[in-house]
Amino acid sequence: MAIVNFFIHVIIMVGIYSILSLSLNFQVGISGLMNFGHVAYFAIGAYTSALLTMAGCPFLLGLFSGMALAGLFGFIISLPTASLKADYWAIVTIAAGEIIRLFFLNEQWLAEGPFGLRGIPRPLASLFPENYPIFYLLMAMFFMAFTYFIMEVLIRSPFGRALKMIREEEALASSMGKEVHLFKIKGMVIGAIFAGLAGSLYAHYMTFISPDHFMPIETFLIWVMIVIGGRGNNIGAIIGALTIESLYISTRFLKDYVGIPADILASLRMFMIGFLLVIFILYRPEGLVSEKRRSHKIK
Amino acid sequence: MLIVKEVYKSFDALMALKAINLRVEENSITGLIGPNGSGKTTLFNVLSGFYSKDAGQIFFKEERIDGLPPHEIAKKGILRTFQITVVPKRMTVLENMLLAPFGQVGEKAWRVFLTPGAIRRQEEENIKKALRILDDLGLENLKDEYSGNLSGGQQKLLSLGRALMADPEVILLDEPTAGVNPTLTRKLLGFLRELRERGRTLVIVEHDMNVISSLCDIVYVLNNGEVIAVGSPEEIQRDKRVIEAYLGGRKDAHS
Amino acid sequence: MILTQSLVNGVIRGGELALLAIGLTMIYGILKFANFSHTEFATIGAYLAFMLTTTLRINIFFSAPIAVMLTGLVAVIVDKLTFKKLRQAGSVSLMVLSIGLSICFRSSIQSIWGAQIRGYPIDIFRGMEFLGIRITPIQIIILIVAPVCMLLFHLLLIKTRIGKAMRATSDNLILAQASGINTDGVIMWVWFIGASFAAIGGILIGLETQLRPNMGFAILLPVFATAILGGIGSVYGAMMGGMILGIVENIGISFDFGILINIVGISRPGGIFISPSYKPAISFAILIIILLVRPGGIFGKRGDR
Repeated sequence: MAIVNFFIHVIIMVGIYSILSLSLNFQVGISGLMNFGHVAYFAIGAYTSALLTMAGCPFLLGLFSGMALAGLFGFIISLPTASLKADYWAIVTIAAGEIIRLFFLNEQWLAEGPFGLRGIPRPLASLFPENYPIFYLLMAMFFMAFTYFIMEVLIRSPFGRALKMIREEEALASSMGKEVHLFKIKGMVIGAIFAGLAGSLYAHYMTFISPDHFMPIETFLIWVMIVIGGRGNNIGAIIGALTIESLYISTRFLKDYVGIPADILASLRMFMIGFLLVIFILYRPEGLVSEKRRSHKIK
Repeated sequence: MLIVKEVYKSFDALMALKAINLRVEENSITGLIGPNGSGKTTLFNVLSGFYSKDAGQIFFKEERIDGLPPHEIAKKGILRTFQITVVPKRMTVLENMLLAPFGQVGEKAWRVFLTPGAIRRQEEENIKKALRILDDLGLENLKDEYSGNLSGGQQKLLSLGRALMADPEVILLDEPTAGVNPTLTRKLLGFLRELRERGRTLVIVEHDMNVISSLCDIVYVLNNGEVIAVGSPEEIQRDKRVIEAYLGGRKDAHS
Repeated sequence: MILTQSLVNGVIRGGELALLAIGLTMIYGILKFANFSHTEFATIGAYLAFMLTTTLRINIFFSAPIAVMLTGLVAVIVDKLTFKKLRQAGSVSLMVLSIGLSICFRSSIQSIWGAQIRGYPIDIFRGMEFLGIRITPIQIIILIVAPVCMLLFHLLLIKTRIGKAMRATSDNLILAQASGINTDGVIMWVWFIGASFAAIGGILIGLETQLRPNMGFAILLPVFATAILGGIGSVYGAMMGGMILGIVENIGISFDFGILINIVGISRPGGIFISPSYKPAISFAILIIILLVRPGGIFGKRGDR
């Protein structure tokens, strides 16, 4: 039974992180936006949904509010910065993410600061007194499929095409009439919205969140997922999430079999993540699954 | 149609454009020649909004366009090509073409979900038109090839194809035949003449005097950022100042 | 006098930031990428010194310089094994690579020494009162060591051949190569010196406060802010930027913003202060503002994007 529960837990986490990697992939892989503060949207989605539902709002309202607020923050961040160079964008987004985390950490009146929020309500918990995790798994899978669907449609559309061109040759896109600034903002906002979705799902599953869950390392983790999975490729993003999250969670159980203390195991796990990132960037930058080539079938 | 009035542009200490006055008549082909570094591409950059001018005015159909960003100028109907052809390498030839038309409804994210039917219809039309143009250019069999894998000459044709696809009123062509073999050049010239037939206006930067002579109605000669001569191709070829500017009378300096 | 205390604290912090920012800004200027693993050299230096002092029982006066040299060596090796392979890749790939490396460094250190706080095994002298300012001997050492290092580096840049080569390479890599300068060698030295300075900074921070595996990462963004404020590639900019940022940070949390409101006639008991836990947010905010308003920094070109 424990094995089954373990697998359910893994799949739920893979689902949540898939949404995160799909959303980051949309920003980085498709739109070419070097977002290194993705965890901020994750946090905003989580905290918003948690606070609203703890105040009595229904789950879906909390979910959508989390998504909306995350999207808003994405808009605020990208509005002034959309014309910055890639590496400056990276630095700015990390800084912005940290400001958000510090905000949640210090404003104790809002969200208990370092102590975090406990007792976040689980949606429809009363309907499923037993096997609740299975329900949550189905819900997580649903949202993951939903995110994938939305991303695929957007990428295949003329909108996605324009984004890709902006990623590749920004000046050319501009000279052809594409309003680059606006497209970048949209790319950022769309990615942010879905990261907010993941945050909400995370909060209601864990029932406890604190600023410690939203350190910059989370963003780097998602980056590793898309680098390994393949940037610009949605399937790759999911595979990346599957690979990393499985590795991450399963090594946690190693401590029962290997005589290494838990905290050292935790740092070894982090080392493996960093190592994978280095190896892939050096030797297989396109990732496990490379970007698909669009062939048009003519009727 | 396109009027440039007393335009100045400098980079730190370097005066790249000095008191440029230009008139491009509707439905004409205007040539822009001059030695390397005379300011031709700089002028194009100012016209298309990539550089901001220091002084002067630019009018398009009576409307001032100086100071507008590149995408705004493009939407008003002025398209430019680049001296060194730029293609989004990891996108296919067909995708390149499909990027060109203005006013695609599918480029607005929310419409992707709200009006998919309209988008699909527009896409189908655009695909048909793109394939027709590609066929004319001889690139049809490469439609699903990454544009980065094309040869230099093919990429030049593709950039022309994009321009044909967008079909703007004015096209600024920066050395359209540079590095292109004679057969392809003749093909290109054919397309350019056809564009004029359709009522379009062209401004061409060129080094090849044969191209200039066979295509252009009027030629402006630039040297050191100034217009030193204006006239028909025959007139400016005989102009002493032009000959001097090209250092010893070499009239067609192929780059 | 709270203001002078803040000023002193600010200068101390500024010295630390400057030491770490010098290497970062040089690499950024020459190799054109943001090295997110740079501050890990500070951590590595600090922990190497710790290991030498505790495990090998070498006196701190010797273990510190040795650790600094070793860290410089580590940087050179890391460059040869990783960054060098991607010289032709875009700045983004290099940046992502550096993030992976920073994770590796940090987690290795944590695996070996654990996550708990460590301290150098030397007598911690109590703070002293000096002209109304509280200061510890370590802080005085920082106030001496940091400027001395910067002075030495300045002399290196001006007077030595390698210094001139560095300046030339930093200005224009291609031109420097064309002039016959062995830019590969210069780059190696830049890594060595940059990492060594970071290690010095790390040891000083470790002496002043404590050792934690994420001590380098915690200071990463303020160091970036310093480098960008001073202008990427400008060593003197890094020095100035460090001072400015350090002082602004410290004054920012001790400044009573209530004074501004008092002018309008409203008074608020207790004053309005930025909470000290928002201290890092001050440098983040400055960082964002600089990048938006004048990305070239103090010594950079205007509108340098």
